[in-house]
Amino acid sequence: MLSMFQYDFMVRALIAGLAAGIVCPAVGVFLVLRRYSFMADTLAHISLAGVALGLWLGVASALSPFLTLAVAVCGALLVDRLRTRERVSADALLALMMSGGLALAVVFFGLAGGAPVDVTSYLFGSLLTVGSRDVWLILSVAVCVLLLLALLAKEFYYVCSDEESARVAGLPVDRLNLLFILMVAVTVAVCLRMVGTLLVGALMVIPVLAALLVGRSFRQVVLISVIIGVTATLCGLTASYQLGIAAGGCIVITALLFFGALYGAKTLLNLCRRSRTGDGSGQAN
Amino acid sequence: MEVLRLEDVFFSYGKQVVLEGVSLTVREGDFLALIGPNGSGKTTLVKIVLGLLKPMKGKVFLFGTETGRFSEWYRVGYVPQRPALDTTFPSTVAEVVAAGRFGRVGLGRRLKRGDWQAIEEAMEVVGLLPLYDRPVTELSGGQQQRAFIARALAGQPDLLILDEPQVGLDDRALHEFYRLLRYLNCERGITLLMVSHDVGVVGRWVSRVACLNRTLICHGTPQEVLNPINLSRLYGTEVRAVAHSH
Ligand SMILES: Nc1ncnc2c1ncn2[C@@H]1O[C@H](COP(=O)(O)OP(=O)(O)O)[C@@H](O)[C@H]1O
Ligand SMILES: [Mg+2]
Repeated sequence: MLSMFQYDFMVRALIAGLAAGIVCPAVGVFLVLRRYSFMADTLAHISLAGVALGLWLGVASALSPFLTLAVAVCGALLVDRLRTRERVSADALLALMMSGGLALAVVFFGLAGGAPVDVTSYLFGSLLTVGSRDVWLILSVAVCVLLLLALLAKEFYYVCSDEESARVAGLPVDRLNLLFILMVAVTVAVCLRMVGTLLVGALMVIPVLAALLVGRSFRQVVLISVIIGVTATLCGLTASYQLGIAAGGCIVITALLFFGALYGAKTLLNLCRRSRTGDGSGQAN
Repeated sequence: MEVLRLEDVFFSYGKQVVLEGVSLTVREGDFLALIGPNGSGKTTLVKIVLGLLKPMKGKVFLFGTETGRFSEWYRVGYVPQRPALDTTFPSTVAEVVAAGRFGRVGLGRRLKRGDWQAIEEAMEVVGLLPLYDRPVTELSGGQQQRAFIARALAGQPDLLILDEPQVGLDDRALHEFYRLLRYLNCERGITLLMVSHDVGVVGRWVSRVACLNRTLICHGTPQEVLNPINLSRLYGTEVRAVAHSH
């Protein structure tokens, strides 16, 4: 198993995976709790359109990640504008933007035609495509996003738990929301290569759902999410290397296993507790 | 001193006029109950006071400053109608209450020891200090209500606004709750504005009552306001029975 460290691409993937495994769930906590679980998926599909656009325009491969970032940011700005100005309902908005992004991606990939494109590697993620430039990009984005999260943790918490009261307290809620969606967009855009369009959202959401099963405070939920995210990414990458299966799938399946294990443990524990106290009422909710 | 003044406030959602020419003054030390039937515009009025909605016409002053230019929002504590936290949100009592301090601390700043003292004192006042680390989702309705009051108190407000805080409290919890409000009002000198649709016992606890049903129907001391004639004007005839019963 240590043999995988002989390969540069694997070392790069592990470093990038570590960064993605920390930053995705950390951002994801706020998405899930605001019932915006599909936001990441939506921005991922928009980012994919950015990738395809780059291929069609023949942008140099050094610049194409930045084009993807730019498209993701534009998508995020549009989502934010529609959400706040036009008051489109959240689920309809995300459905609209997601299918729009995917449709654009398909069209751009089609226009790019002749180019040798491996679309599945963008959909499901791939280790081989993570170059050293990608690693630097993921690392710098992860550091920036985590710093911002740490700096504004209490504001994001308040807005996420009770937006109206946060507004009354004088917090700049609209600007915080905009900043946050931009943070999600850049995170998604840089993690896209490795985890894949279809699965980057899952890396933001599933570790959080698992953590919510056991976390008793907000702080605990954040910590547990990140621990699960990192573990799932590293285990998933190893499995991907060993079995030769797309990275995104392995990472997400590992995260799902965590969820399943915690869910099973929690159910068992509740059953035991209930049979001991001899009543089913308990503190159900 | 004047804490809050509304001057001829109008508001409508689309074509539906909800508030019409409402003028009201709240002075320092008042404990004002704003009563009226469901849909009479009480929550809307509160949201206008808090700057969440802009009046179509008229002016609102907080501590002498018009709400549009008001910046000392930490002086106003707010307990929303039905706690906005949903039943799955992971938070301990301490985390919820601490949020009430954020407006005072400033963007990107950490809570200092003095802030934590204020937070713990707020928990102490509502009797939740022993439940510091308990997830709010495990609290009873009354305890959750108190957690949200503590959150509002953590910012050490001069004016506390509560929107139908009694909903979901049983008789005993309700009595405790009013005693807490009276303590905050009399001992802490916090001005209180409480929205209520209950006219049964509220009159025994508050210093002033304002009746709202799109327009301000009447306001004054409970003795002046809470009589069968006013109440039937406010609620229509059906409530007369309640008004007679005590
Ligand atoms: N966001 C809204 N959009 C449209 N109408 C609303 C909205 N909020 C409240 N209303 C309407 O305004 C009226 C007053 O509502 P509200 O201020 O919540 O009354 P109360 O708090 O006294 O029950 C009601 O008829 C209600 O249906
Ligand atoms: Mg209301």
